[in-house]
Formats: sequence, C-alpha cells, structure tokens
Amino acid sequence: MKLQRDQVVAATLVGTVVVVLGFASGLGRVPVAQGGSTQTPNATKPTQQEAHHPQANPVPHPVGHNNPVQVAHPPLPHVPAPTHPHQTVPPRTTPPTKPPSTAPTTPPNEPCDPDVVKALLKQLGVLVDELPVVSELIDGSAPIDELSKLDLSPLLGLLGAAPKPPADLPAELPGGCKLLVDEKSGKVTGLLDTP
Amino acid sequence: MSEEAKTLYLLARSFDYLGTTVFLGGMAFVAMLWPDGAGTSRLRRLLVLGWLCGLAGSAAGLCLEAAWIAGKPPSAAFDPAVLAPVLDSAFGRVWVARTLLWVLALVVLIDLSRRGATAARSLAWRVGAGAVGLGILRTNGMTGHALDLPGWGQAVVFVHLLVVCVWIGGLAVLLIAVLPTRDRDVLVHVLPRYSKLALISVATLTAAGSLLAWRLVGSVDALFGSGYGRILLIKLSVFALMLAAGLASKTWVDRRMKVAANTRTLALSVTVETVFAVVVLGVAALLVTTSPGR
Repeated sequence: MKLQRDQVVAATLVGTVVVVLGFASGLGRVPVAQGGSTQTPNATKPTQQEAHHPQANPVPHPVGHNNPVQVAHPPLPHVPAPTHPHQTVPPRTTPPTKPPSTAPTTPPNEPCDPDVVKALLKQLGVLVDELPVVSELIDGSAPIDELSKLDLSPLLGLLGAAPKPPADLPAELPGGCKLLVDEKSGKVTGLLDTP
Repeated sequence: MSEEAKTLYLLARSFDYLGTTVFLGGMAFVAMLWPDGAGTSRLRRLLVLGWLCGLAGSAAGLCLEAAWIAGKPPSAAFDPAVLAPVLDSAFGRVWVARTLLWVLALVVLIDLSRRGATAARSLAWRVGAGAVGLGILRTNGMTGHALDLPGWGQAVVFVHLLVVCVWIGGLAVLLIAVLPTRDRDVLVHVLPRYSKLALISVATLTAAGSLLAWRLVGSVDALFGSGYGRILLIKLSVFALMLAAGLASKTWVDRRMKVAANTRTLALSVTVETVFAVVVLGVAALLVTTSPGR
C-alpha cells in the first residue's frame, strides 16, 4: 500500500498530539531534588492541585519544598493576593507506596522565628530592648523552652497578681525557639537558635 | 495591579473559548454537514478568525495568569522572570501544550484552505483535524475545576465542551457563511441536518451540564449562596434565552423553510442565539476562575 502525503501528515498530527498531551500530563517528568535535601517521591511529584492554577498567594516554605512555582519565586512584597479559585480545596497527594515502618515520635522542629518570641516577651514586659539571636550557649546562661520557667514576677507584681504565671500562657515558646536566661539574675539575655 | 491582570486574563479566556468553539465547531460543521463550504471565502475567514482567537487567547491567558499570580501589572506578563515559574508548573505545561496544539491546528487549516472540499471529504484530513481538535478540548479538562472531578466527570467535561463547540460553532457558520449565500439548495441541504445535530447537542449539553453542576455546586443552598452558584445561575438564565431563540430557529426550519420567501426571520433568530452564545462563553470564562460552591 502506497502512503499518500495527506495520510502521512494526518499520522504525524495524531502522533504529535499524543506527545503534546503526554507532555501536558507530565509523563516522563523527573522530579528534581533541590538543595541536596532528601525528598520522597510524594513530596516532589507535582500535585493535581497545582494544575488548577499555580498558587496565587505564595507562602514561605521550609527549604526543600519542591513546588516549582513557589520555589522559583523570590520573597514577594506583601500585595493583596488575587482571589484564588481553589484555595479551599485541599491539595491531592498520591498515597504512599508502603506504610512507614515506625510512627513518628516527635513532630519535626519548626524553624526559630525570633520576631514571634520578641513580640510575646515585649507584651509580657520582660523585654525592653532588642534580643540578640545566638547559635550556641553563652557561659553563665541556661536555655529554657517553656514560658512557665520564666521569671515573670516583675510583671505580675506590677499588676498586683499572685507570683505565678497566668494559666493561659502557652507551655512552649512559640516559633520553636529557646530563651537564654542569665543564671544569676534570671533575666532574658538572648534567643538561642540552633538549627 | 493584579486585578488588572486578572481582568485581562478573563478577557483572554473569553477569546480562547470563542476561538475554540468557532474553530472546532466550524471544522466539525465542514466535515459533517457542508464539505463544499470549505471552498467559500466566508467560511475560511471565519475559521482563520477562530484560530487567531484560540491561539492568542491561549498564549495571552498563560502570560496574564503568570502576571496575576505574581501580583504584577499586565505589562509584566511577558517578563521571563514572571513567566518562568508558571511555565515550570503543571498548569503552565498544560497551557503551553494547548498553545502548541493551536499551532498544529494551523496545519489543518492550511490544508483545508488549499484543497477545499477535497480535504474536507478526505478521511486523512478528518483524522488529523479530529486529533488536533480533540487534543485542544482535552486540555480544558486538565486544569481548573475539572481536576476536582473523578474519571467519569472528566469524560462529562469533554463531552460538554464537544457539544458546545458543535452547537455554537455551527451557529456561527450558519450566520456568517451559510445564510448569506441565499442559495436555496445549500439551505435545504444543510439546515435540516444542522437542526437535528443542534437538537442532539442541546440535549447532551443539558444532561452533561446538569451532572457537572450537581457535582461542582452540590446543593441548592450553594447554588444561591455562593459566588460560583450565582454566576452559574446567570449562565443558565442566558442559556435559557438562547434555547428560546434556538426553538424559534428550529420551528422556522421545520415548518416554514419550504414556503418562506426569504431567510430574514431565521437570520434574526440565529443572530440572537449567537449573541447569547457569546455572552454564555464570557460568563463561562468567569466561572472557571471562581471557586466552586462546594
């Protein structure tokens, strides 16, 4: 059977359409790990949610988050985010191929956010000036990670309250930080941020 | 700033829908009902217009969506730094693919323009045009609300878009290319067949649209209480007006075509139908950028 030119063109068109649709589906796309971080296939595979529209309001993610749209964005100035049609839909992820062998015993560490702690300490009145952020212990200082261990007597005395911390204080410091407290004076001297 | 980009993005989506329906519906009309029409300049110009709207709408939609997401003005839409993150996303891949398919459609269009009715009657051209057209329609189901749907829902979206193209694209061909010929033989040959095709399309469209509305909106409360539901109600209202105009057209074809002295009444009802169809497409573009009610 002799092929005619229009038949060859039609076959080429069909083949090209299949290839283009395969490209659109993401077939054969190899996920690239970033920053040397270890990523599970689930974390690196673009989700279907991503194809709705790319995220309209990029939020900072821990290093290693491999959403191509978000990673490539530099930190944006705060602008009113466009109304995203699918923000309420939870992202779909493929189920893991096998269940984890052991249940996680501790949640992953949050990055230390000094601003959160500073704001809280200023509200409590135990911080007047800026708090230095250090990465290792200083002689004469002790790290604490619970607000209940903090000496709030100056503030509580000022308010005329009993010398015990308020019950609604969070047990742990927000932002995943630890405070450096001078062992002699009991004053907060810095913020310990250990990666 | 981003609101300007969003507005232009909606406009680009409207052009994209318009181009898709006119081009794919026009191709289907030529292949199924009127191969001889491929030799007329009016039909060729209509198809070229549809192709331009589709290509420009897809390309501009991709760029403007990138600007909208980045919170940039529309002038930044073609900035590589703004485009690159979107091009690397699943959404960007789908839209790049869609734009490529529009480029492929140019091959089909050129072949039809060169060979006319011979191409429209050949199996090879129909297969090539069908593959490109169905590929373009498939990309609609790879983004947006269709991703919230299960497998059957994806098929329903595909059928929904297909019959929309057949119906509305056919209307455009009737209005621009068939009725102005005033050729009684052509009218007698084409109109009854298109009327049947349109009836089947509308029935399928109603069933598919109802299923999608039920799946995406979910409840009567969401239909009246959510933004998505209200936009859908507007779309359904215009669709009802379009159906009324379509009924008038069908009545004329069934009862008066053989005795009427001219086609002025039919041209009027088809024009009204087409205007409502353009409004429906614009509302549909707004709908796909709104969060569903459930």
